[in-house]
Amino acid sequence: MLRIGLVLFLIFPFLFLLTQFQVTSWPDMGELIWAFKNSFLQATLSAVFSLVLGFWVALGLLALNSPRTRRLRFVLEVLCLLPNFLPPIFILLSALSVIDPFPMGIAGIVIVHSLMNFGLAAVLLASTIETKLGGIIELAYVEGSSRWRFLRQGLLPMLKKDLWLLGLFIFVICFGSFAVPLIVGGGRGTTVEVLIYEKIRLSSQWGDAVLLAFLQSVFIFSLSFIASRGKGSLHHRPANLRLLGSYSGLMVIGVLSFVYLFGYAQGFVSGLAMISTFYELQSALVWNFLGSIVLGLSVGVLCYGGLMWIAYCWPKKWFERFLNGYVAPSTSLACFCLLILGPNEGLYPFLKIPLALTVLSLNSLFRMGWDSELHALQNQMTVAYSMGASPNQIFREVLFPQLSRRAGLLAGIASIWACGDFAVSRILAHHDLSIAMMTETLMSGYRLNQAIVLSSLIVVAGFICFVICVGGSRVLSRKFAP
Amino acid sequence: MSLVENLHRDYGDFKLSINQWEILDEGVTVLWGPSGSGKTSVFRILLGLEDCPGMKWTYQGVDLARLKTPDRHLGVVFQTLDLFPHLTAEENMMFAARARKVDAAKAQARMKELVGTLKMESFLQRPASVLSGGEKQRVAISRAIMGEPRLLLLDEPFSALDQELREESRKLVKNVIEQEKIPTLLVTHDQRDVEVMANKITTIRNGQLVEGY
Repeated sequence: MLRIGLVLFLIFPFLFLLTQFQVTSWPDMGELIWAFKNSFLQATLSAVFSLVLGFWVALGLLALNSPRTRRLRFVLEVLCLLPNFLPPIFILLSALSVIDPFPMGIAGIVIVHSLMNFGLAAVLLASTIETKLGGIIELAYVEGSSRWRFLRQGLLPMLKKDLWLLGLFIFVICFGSFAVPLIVGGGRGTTVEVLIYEKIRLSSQWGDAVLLAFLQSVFIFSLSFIASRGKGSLHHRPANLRLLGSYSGLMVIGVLSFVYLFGYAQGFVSGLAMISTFYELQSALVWNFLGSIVLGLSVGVLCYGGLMWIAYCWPKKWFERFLNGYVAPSTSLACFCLLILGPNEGLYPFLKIPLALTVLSLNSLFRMGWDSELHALQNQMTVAYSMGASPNQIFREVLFPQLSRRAGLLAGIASIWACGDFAVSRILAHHDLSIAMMTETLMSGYRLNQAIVLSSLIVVAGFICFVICVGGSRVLSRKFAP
Repeated sequence: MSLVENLHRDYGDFKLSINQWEILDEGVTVLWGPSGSGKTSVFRILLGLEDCPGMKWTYQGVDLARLKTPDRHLGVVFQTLDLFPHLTAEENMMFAARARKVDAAKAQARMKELVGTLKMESFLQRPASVLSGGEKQRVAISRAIMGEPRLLLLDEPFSALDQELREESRKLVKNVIEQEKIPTLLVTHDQRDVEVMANKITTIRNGQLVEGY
């Protein structure tokens, strides 16, 4: 029953889609093809650039595989992953600040997406090369192969499948992206996701929006299904990677990190000079800061609960298959189905925004390590089950004490995302409720430096929520320890 | 005697085919066979962790094959031991007693007995995560016995121990099984386990029993 409940919660937007699927007339095909073309083009280019940059950076990371340089490599990996981990608003602000004039449209979307995803691609590729091909690289090095020859005839053919799958993975993320195209897409770069938003928000064409959301969901689901099928075998053995390591890759990390760190720092310093302009916003600042904290904590609590709910329902083959194959619904779809359910004034947005963000984040959190945590405990669950323990006892005495801290950490990450969200909040609330929304308002008004200064409060709010989630989960695990 | 009948399962590239097999009501029945012979599959099927339609397992008039895993009332020790690392040795044992709803006073008395027999006094309050291999193994056996099982099922329980500890462990386990009078099925590929523990030996090869039944 609980499993079914969770499944229904996760597919609620899709069910809504089915019940609302009343296409009275076929939407404007020209517009539909144009939006799909834009989505496809930006996602393809983003995936290609992220992969090319990621591959180059991966060679740089591989140059640092000795015990002496391990710490430096860790720092560089954090720099690489930061743009992917932080809410998109930070990268948007940095990119808009450092690239002036910023090319709005497809080019702008591709720049921001590439900046967000190159690091993830680099870290994943470096790890794949190290663990999967370390032995072969050593062999080629000993036998005197040149780097170029090995890259061309050895590495790339052997990595073809991994590159393809990673590219597909980035493509899927970028295809469904909403916040970035909304800000930098402009009129020429309208993607399907933004078109769905415009159809409902601006012209109230629900039938068209539902059809678009349906087509997009089917497309993303098909690609995700392909991307989730291939997983190569990994062999863990430290290897000598001198043949491949290239310090030029480190230079790329330097340049790209400079873009987002310098852009942010520069905008922040310039914005501080205009700090007096915030005086008139003092009251709104205080309330919206509290709003950010409330939203962040609500999402943290809901995600913590959702992860524990998954743990309680584990293991069951069909349930696991569902979670592995499940694709989070499109942002617009998840938001708009909540928008038309019940009132949207007063405190309702504070209920609806966390719910939407939880539906959109839970699957990512599951794949960010929750699934492997559950797999690691599966043997203990089997023993407990064989001994006759009830699901309640297994959860209370075996799972909860061992999982609570990890759930707290993941919930904390989700709460940071929630503090930085403006896209979901913009759909579900009619006025600014959080610092991220205020920041976006300033950004849309071309007051970029002030927006950057304001966004520093998102970091503060995110940090507070993260600490509360992590600390709270520790207290709970201690309090309910058997 | 408990009687297993019609244990047939097709895994595609491997088939299990056991028409009839008797497991002793007392002492240790050893299922011995080389790696890949199907021992662990038989073990998992008897536990109810894998389906085996058509199988019958009669024990004291009850067909255990028709019951769900928890209702079969079996005690189990896997090769990996799988103690709950966040619980102490004592809490691991009491977990099993609570799972089977054994009366608290009775469980305490039983635990005291087992602690004495298996010499666990010195590490009873230590978390399972810091116990040595030999200590973990003794806790796992005690935990399996604490729930007052009909039958004890052991899957290569000594394989994680070094040679010296293994010998000592076999004797301790044999001793506690005799003392508690719990019929036991031991699945192993180690000839020495057979020599020390077995009251009855069944050999399995390529998914079929080849002698001793």
